[in-house]
Amino acid sequence: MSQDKLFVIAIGGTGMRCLEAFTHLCAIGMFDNQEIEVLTLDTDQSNGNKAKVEQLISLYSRIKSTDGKSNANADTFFSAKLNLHRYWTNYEGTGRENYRNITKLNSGTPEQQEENRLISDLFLEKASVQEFDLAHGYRAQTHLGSQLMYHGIVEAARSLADGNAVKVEEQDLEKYLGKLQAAGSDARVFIFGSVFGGTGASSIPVIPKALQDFIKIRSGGKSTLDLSKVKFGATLLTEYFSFKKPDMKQMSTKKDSVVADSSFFPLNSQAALQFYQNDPTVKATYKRLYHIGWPIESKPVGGDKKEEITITGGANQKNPCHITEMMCACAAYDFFTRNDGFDLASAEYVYKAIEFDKSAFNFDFQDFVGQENNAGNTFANRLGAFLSFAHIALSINKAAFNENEKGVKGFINRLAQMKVEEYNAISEEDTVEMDNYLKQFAYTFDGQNFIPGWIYQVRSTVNPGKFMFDDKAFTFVKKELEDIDVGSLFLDKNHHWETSLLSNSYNTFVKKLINEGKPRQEQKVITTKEKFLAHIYNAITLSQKF
Amino acid sequence: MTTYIFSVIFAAAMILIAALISSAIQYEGGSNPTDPKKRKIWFWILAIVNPILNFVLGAFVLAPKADDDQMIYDDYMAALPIATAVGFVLYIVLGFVLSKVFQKGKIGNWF
Repeated sequence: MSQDKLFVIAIGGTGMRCLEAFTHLCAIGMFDNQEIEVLTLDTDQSNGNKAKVEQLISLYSRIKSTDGKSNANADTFFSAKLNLHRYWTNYEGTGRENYRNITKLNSGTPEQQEENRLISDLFLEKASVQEFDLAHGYRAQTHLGSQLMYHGIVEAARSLADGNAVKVEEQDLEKYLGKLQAAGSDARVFIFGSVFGGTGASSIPVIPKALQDFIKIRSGGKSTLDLSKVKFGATLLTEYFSFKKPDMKQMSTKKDSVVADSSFFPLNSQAALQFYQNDPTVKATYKRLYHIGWPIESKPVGGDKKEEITITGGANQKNPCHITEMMCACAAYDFFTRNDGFDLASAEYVYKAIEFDKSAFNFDFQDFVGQENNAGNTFANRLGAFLSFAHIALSINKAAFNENEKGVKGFINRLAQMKVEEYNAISEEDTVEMDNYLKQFAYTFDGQNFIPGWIYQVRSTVNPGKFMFDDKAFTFVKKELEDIDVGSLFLDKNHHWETSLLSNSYNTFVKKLINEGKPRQEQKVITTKEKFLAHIYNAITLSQKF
Repeated sequence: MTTYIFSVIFAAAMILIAALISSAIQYEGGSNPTDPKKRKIWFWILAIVNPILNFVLGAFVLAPKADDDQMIYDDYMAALPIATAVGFVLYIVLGFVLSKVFQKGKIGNWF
């Protein structure tokens, strides 16, 4: 793992879902010994995807922390420490609702007003693009979005420099950028966002420059960010989902005069890629750009469920997770763990292909992280271990089926019955949070209704293709889940847990946990919770024979 | 003497059976797993079965024939209840010791 300080920026709805995937990679333990600074950047403070990932990171941090303190660990679950920062360009309040108002087109001398109007009308359609409500993002108007996102960040720097009515989100941005500035040339910054939508697509090209200018303005010109030395990477994620086409009725108001139309996403992607291929600023500021796409027909968001109107943003925008977002998270893994490729004069564009057979993709572990430094095996071990842990808590210890069941606490009670009592001190509140995280990772039930979590949703996007594990690892039938053999989730039988005449695989695992797998010094676990998670991880790893 | 040796061997065999049954009872999940209780119950069932079976086998299968030598038979029958009691106590003591030695294993549930 790199010695550089790691930074992540998630922009827009798609960026948030990539960050969700990245958080799960941290939970399975892919970023050992790292304290990662995370920034969520959006125009839409109420966005459902944003709220979801911020809650997930908060939950992650609560699981890691004891008395408000947490540490980075190694070779265990939740090994990376995540520090969440949030910034949003505030478009609420009179005078900030749309481009026309925020740019104050009607202020200044008559000559200035005329010049401003002419230049605005030249680039931005007057009746629609200059008028729509910005609170739900830039609605695929990237030419407008780039300008406004840059403006939002620079405006925050000026506000902080003035010290008047500084907003909480501006303080949070300053804190994040203070750490980035301190890391200097030792910083690696990875940006998640799409190139086909609105906010992410608008922001990726301008973010390095905007952050540099923020630091310059905030420091009164005394400091800067050397963009040739700070290592920036990003995803170039092209279209992979569609949604209801907006109708004229919905677009009849000025507020909604522009609504993103997903039928244009392939065209947007094509145009964006041409831009990224040729833009000198992008090529000079980024070191690596990961081109990720979905080369078959995009499935509609929400499946067969028919929405009455096109959701433009807000709390209702909670798209299901997709494997391309997981690939983006793995691109961040590659960017953060590689030791070379940062000394090129111009950005490197990378991509990879996945096996496509009989109208379906087949994904294996190394397709996500490669095989360098045994990464494929590490990924298989850790993802498999976390999925097993999820089934132990949710299926075997029944946390997913019934609110009265205790999941992880039930497992700790089981250990106490076997006279392994060092984890009794972990409170029920803490174990409920572990259960809740595992529910978000894998699945839960609401009454009799099955609610797929992240990995189930990702798996469903490649169905009926192969997705690393045996299909039975992703059953959603309650009876099958109750009886699941947690030791045979892998397709490769070499990683099945041992069984004997008298013991099923879960029994041999518990026996292993009791007798072996105590946390090791190099895992750097200090608190009881960390020791518990490391112990579970070690016992599963031993059972998997990695 | 044979009676006592038989009781000791029988108690040891019953302990072995109790251990096998305990191992065969799988760990259960959920908030209220019943497997530790099952292991305990099976231990005590065998604790009761041990002296009964020991006595019955001793009295009706292994006992010397009274017709051959009444004195040997009388001595044997006098020793049998004591040997049975010894076997019972031995089963409990062995069970307790093993339970404490392997307290993190399944037989740790006996006590």
